[in-house]
Amino acid sequence: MSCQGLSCREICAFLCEYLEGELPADRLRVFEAHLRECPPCEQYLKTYKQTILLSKKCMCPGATKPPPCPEDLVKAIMRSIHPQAGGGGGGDCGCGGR
Amino acid sequence: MHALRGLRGPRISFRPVSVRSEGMHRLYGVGGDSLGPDAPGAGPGPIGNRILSVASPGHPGSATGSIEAGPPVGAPDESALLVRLRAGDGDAYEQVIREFGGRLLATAQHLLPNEDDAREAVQDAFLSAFRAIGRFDGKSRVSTWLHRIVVNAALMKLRTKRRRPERSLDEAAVNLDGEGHFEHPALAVHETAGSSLDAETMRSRVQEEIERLPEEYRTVLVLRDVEELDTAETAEVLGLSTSAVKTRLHRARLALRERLLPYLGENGGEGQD
Repeated sequence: MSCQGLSCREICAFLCEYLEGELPADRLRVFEAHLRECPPCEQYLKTYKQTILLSKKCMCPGATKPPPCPEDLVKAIMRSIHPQAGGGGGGDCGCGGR
Repeated sequence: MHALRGLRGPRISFRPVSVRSEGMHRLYGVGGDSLGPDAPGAGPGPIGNRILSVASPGHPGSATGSIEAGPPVGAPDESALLVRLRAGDGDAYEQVIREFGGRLLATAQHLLPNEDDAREAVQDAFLSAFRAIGRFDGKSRVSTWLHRIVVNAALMKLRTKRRRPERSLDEAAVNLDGEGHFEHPALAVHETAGSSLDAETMRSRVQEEIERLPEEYRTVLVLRDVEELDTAETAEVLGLSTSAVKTRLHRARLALRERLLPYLGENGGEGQD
């Protein structure tokens, strides 16, 4: 399907720039005209965008509320910056604190 | 309140690892010296050779490693916290670790699939940050500053651990004819009813597929789409040109899309609870 002088291959190749808003105005018009006339490209863009959203959503399940820092990590960091801090037995630090 | 002056004490390892020296914090761009192009850890390289400037948002900064650039955008309520941190207030340190550590660990885990590596990167990052707190001017948010340090720490670990050449990412197959058009509308999308997966399974599947991506593509995808660094920041961190970042990002997304396509139904792959 040849839509507005752009091939589907070109649409696929410039999806990133399109979503970043980096296409020049004249190319953007042609790009969007192609999308309006080419259902496969429209669907391809849809799944491309879904992929991006899934990456964000599934890698950051607690995006709205950060997960708590594991207690053992808190203690380990505190012991590394101060041997007497962090609470609890520090047997694994080997620092021989003061 | 207890003061933590000098921040002496060895880094606690989650496994037997030698304690690193002052060079560690310098590589994170938060040391006492301004890092220029000739400084250790600077310069181009595949991954993590560049020092991400920890300037405030909107000013990715240069490779100088300066942490005192950028417009004043820090939150007013952090000023009191910064005063306490600079005074060596141990309670303030613990507060920062508890408040930001979880999110920072998640960031490290995105870049370092090995749990021990991710924890060590976070530990290294906090240690470096607290050592250099006196040089942080508060013009960016503390969380932003820490985030950059953790990203650098994780990428440094990746660089030291990479042992084999990266395999290339075959360009995702797109059913195009000789003139670059979709051969048939139906071939633009796999014939699928949109596989029904529960949310947790979908999440696991997406994470698995991202981890399967070759490292050089995965890091770009994670930094851009998950950690939401912009192209310039990502390029600076990875020592790549912006065009290389865009190319790798696009190919990573295409490859991921191909792998997730069976699950991208009408609900957009949200998964079912």
